[in-house]
Amino acid sequence: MTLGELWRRLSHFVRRDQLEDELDEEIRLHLELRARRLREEGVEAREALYAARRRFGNVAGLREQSHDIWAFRWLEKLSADVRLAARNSRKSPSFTLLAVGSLSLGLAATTAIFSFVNAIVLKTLPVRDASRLVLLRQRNETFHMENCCFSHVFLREFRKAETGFENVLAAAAKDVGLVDGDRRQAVTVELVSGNYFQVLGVRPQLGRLLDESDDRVENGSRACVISDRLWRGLFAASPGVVGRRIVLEKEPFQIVGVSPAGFEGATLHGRRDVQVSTAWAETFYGTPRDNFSWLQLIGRLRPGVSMTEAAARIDQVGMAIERGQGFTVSDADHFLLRDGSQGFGSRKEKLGQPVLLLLSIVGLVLFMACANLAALWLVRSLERAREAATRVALGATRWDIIRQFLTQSLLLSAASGVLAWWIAQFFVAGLLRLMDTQREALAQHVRPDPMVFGFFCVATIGSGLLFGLLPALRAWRTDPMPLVQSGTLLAAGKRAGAYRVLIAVQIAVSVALVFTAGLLAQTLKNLRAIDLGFRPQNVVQTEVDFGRLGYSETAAEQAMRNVLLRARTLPGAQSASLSTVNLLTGSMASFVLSIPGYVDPKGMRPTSYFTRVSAGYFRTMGIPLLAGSDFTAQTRAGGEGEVIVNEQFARRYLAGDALDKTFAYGGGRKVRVVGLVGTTKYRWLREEPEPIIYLPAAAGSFPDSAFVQVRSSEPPETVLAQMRVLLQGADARLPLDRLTTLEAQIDEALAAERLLALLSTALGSLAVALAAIGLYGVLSYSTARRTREIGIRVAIGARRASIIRMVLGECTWMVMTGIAAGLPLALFSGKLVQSQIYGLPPADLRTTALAGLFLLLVSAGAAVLPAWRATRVDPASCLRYE
Amino acid sequence: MPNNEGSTRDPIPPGTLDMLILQTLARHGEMHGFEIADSIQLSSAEVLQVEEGSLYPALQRMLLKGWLKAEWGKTSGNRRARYYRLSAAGRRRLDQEIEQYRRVSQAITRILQPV
Repeated sequence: MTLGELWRRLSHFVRRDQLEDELDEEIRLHLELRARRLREEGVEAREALYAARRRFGNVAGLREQSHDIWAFRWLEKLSADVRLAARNSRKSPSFTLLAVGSLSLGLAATTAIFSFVNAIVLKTLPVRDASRLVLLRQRNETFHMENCCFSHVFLREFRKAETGFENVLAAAAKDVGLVDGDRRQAVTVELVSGNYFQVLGVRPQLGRLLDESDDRVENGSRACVISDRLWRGLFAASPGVVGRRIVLEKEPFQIVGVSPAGFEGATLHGRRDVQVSTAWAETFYGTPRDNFSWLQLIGRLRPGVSMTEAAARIDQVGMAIERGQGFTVSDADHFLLRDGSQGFGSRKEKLGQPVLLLLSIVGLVLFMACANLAALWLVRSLERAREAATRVALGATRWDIIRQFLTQSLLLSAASGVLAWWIAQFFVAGLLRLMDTQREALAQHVRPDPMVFGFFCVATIGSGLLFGLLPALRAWRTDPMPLVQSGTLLAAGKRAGAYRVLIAVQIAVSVALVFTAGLLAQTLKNLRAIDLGFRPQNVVQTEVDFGRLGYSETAAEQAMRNVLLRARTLPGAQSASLSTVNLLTGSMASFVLSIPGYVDPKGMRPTSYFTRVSAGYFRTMGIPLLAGSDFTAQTRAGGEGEVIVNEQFARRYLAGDALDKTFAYGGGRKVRVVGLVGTTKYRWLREEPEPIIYLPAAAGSFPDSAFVQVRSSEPPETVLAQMRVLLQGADARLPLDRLTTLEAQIDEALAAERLLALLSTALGSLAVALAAIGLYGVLSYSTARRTREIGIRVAIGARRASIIRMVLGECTWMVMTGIAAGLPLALFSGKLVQSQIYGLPPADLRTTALAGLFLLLVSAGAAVLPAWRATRVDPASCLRYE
Repeated sequence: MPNNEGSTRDPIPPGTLDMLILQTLARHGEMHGFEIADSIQLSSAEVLQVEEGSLYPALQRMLLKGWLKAEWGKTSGNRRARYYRLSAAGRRRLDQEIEQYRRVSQAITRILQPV
């Protein structure tokens, strides 16, 4: 069919009534002209009319014929079906409302969560063939962690070796201030190897990108590339930006190009504004690039080389390089590869599992909503079986009947879909708010894209088909014979047990969902109940970084001391202190130790976390001082240094008796233990007790960047406000957005768990509500259908109790089967979420019993009203009706 | 009733109605349905008989194909009538149909020629 033809057909379809009138007019004219001609030829007037008709042929048939030429048969049938479906939906507003309500909520939640799955799991870096990118890591057996970073020397050696990689790039990021004339902006600079853009396959949208010649320390140019966002934001997308000089970390850099829109560094879930080459490490880190391990590596796998093959090869290569450089490397310190398709700092590892779990939960709830509607519709379609049977008897094909059901279900799901698409954006915004710390990283990726829209369409149409299919199949089996024979369709009701199964399935799924929600909620509770070893209540903390503001070492120390001094004198303040490591954020600093008299059972070198703290830290944090004394303002760093250790350190390395013991750390600096404090959590909530060394922040070792804590008797809001004023007074350039209560910060560490607990509870409740509505609806309908039977029973003397038993009997079967099937399903889902739960077994008996009991109670509640209504049937009126 | 239909006339060979309509319109420009039917009969010296009704589905089909254009106008008797005329596509189509018809009829003629 050509386009022109399609267009003519469509416009004809729109004006088809008018055009049929016109054809009639043409035919009338033809007949009259023919009749006149015949009269002129001498035929008698009446006869002429007949003759004209005879010559013309079958008028009705010809009209039909020309109609068929134009018609869109399917379009006409469809519009008739849609009209019928709309009429049917209007006739049963409660069902329509329930359908649109539950489907639109279900679809919106599913779409919203899928947006997050898309952003966290599915999306990849906007570069050439991102799926071939891998991250290079190294296991660190001593500290039980993965090393992310390597030195530039390592990179050079590694690139020379045969590794199965096409090429390897390196990058490191740092937040700095950008100065352009008199404008300042905080930006994230990515220091990149010369082959960075070439390996990623990124092309400039303006100017040029960096290459190997920029990455030479001796005569490299101070060149930088800026992102599209920075170009538009700071430079108003001016093409003249190429060649412009900006200042980063007090050094001038020349902008040589702009990277393409959408590319914001080799990190999908982060943002890099400026790229400069690694040659300028000294500008940003104060030390030449060869001196320290600071670069993260991404390799591009050679075509045909799998990740496992490459991993085996790089392990040998990496070990050889490190040994060649004179490092002591244990055989357990394997090199490994991680998925690099999302670049550095991907949130997939942390949030991928939880969001996929949520997607399956919300998918189940949507499935339940469909099962619910199918059940209610099945029960109702028993009433409509008469109509269907009549239509079949009158010659409607079974396909016609099925199509009519599916049209109605698809119409309802499409209407729900439109509503859902609108609601989904609020869900997405709500979810983002729940993810707080991840918010910035994810916000730009959760916006609807073709992937999300495609998923949404499939879900919408799929749910429409799903809930329409069973009633349609049921109607397909409609046998018109009983209707023809007896005029009633009682027989049809007997075969329609499918809705009971559907209700049982819903109850089973609800049990599993309630159980899962229970596990996750208790996990959150258990995590919150973990003894942190310190008291986060009433503590406000902020990060203060004078180093970045360009203070000299002595000026920074003075400024930091001033901040502490003023914080201690805030109204209500009980104590204030600083530390260099932020607890429970995953960050850490550690030493290798040499402890006289200690031999590790596994032959490993003893290690310990450390943090540098000021006097008063333990009081501020509420960490108990078990023996010895706290640092004082007079504590000096020189000579034999003083340290405080935690109980775990004393237990593991010093046989429990810590005071006055000496040991050496790092490069052999000797220290003496002056105090013993309680063990606190350090990196993670879920960690085992770890040894920690507290070093004093003393003259000469005073940090220019630290976390400052204040414990106060004032409410946190007041303290936050006081601190804002204090920081502004110290230096107006200090950022205020790091100011938070310690409790809020711990809460952030629990963001994923909280999200899971909250959403699974909400979705579990939705599931239970749906199951209850379904049960109630099905019972109401089936009792209403049995009104006559009940009337007769009452008339011949049945008692109320036996009527109630009769109604509840039907319900008991569904509920008991559902719960019985739900319990193993619950235990299975417990297994699935095993990695997400803490502090209770995945087959927790109490939660299982509670989930079952809860569903039993809700079901009983849903059944009470229909049962009560059945006892109110008035036998006289219902027999009279008959 | 004078019977001037039937025996003396032959039905139009199948598949040629479109060509006849197109040719008629090509010769006469704008015509309405009755005029087309009349014209085909007259031009064929009353040998070819159009079943007049079948003209209309054919016209509709050709409108759909875009070979014809139609406009409402007035007849000489001041009646409203739909006038059909050839479009550019219709003219091309006519050439094709005639070409094809010639080929077929020449082939048939050759078969029928006495050797």
